[in-house]
Amino acid sequence: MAVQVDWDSKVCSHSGNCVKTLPRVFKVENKKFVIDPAAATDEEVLAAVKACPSGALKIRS
Amino acid sequence: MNIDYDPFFSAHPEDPYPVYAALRREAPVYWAERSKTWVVSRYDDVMSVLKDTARFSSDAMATVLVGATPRRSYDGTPGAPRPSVVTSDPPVHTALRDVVNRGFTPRQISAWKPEVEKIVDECVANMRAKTSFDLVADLSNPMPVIVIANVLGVDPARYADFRKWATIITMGMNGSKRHLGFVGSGAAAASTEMSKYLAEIIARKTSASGNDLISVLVRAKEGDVMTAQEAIIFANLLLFAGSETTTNLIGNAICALLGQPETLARVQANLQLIAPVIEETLRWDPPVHYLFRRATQDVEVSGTVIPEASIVTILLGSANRDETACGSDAAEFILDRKMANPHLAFGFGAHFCLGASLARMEATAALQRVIPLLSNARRTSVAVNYIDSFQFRGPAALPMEWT
Repeated sequence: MAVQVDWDSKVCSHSGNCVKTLPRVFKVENKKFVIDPAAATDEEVLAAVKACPSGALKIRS
Repeated sequence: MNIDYDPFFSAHPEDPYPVYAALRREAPVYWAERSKTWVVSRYDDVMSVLKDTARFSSDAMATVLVGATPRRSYDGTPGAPRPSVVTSDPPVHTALRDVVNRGFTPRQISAWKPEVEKIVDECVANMRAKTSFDLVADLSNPMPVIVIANVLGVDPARYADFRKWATIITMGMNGSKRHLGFVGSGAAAASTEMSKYLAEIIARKTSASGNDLISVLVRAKEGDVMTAQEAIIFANLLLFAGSETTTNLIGNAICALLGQPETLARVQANLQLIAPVIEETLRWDPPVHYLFRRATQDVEVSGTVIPEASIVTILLGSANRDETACGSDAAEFILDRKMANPHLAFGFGAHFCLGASLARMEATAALQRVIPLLSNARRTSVAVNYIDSFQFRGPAALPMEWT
């Protein structure tokens, strides 16, 4: 099973890093932010979460 | 090597990078005696301090830069304004940030784009009408001020005042007049004057139902809002933090390209490359070189114990050139760089620059117009003078003439 990602909307600074670097996983659909971790490898998802500048994205443990 | 570095006394305006390299190599946690601050220069250390808001308080941004009275954080007195989003720590910061984030969503920023492009076009038309021009005075300096002023609803007749206030505040806060103190340098008076004018604007907005930034911030919506007094603090910060920094980002990008004619030619042939130009400029020669934090307890960093209550200087400008994080070619400006780690020009973590997307959009709009023009213009002075600031870095002027 792919890793699970949590997003904290109150912490997010909307830098757009994740949607730009991994649009398959992080996307805006019908004005809602959705995350589909299964659309990429775990390594790609982990790298995107690590690069999230605000810390709004977290790997669910 | 005997390292001589101090955030407020070292004179390295042309090139601070060699001393940063020496710090990283030989004294990654360096005591700067004159300013009484620990200087952290390695990427991993800078990153961990930025992320650790519990052990490194942002109140140092106020105590060090504007001489504010030290305090742990907002004490919760009813009616008292909370500290600004820059100087507060969680949980106060988290609540404030949630409010201001509403004004800076990607959708909000793209809505400002046509207006920003129009302002850039006006600046460029003005430059074209003259035989010689200054890319800083005629474009990179006025444009971001006008953008923020428009967003806040400032009268265009007052733009020059805002630029004047910003310059005085910078000199007194982190430039050549710092030794006179925030009050003695005139920075406090400039800041008060600016706040007074902003208070008038905000007073008119509190009843408004508009979608402009101030209305969004003060209008009761879901969750937290800002009081009018907090909105004044924030607007003051915006005008200041949102103009000077973008001016320097644009100036540093142009300087980098002028220093690398081959790269410039590549970008001129393909303006899609402006995005990597901006990112590499942010990494290689960022507009903000350091931030401050206060250690809330003894903390060990790279083998050195930083004692509780110490002021810590985090060198973003050095972290971005750290070979261990950015590669052995970190000292070079490389357009095709693949970054394994993000650059820290906008900070990282809870205080990550609120205006990052706006800065990128403004810089893109400016460079899209300026880069093609550089084939018909040449510099009238090759030497670059830097602005009067230890903390911020960018060219004070880029005089050019049409060819």
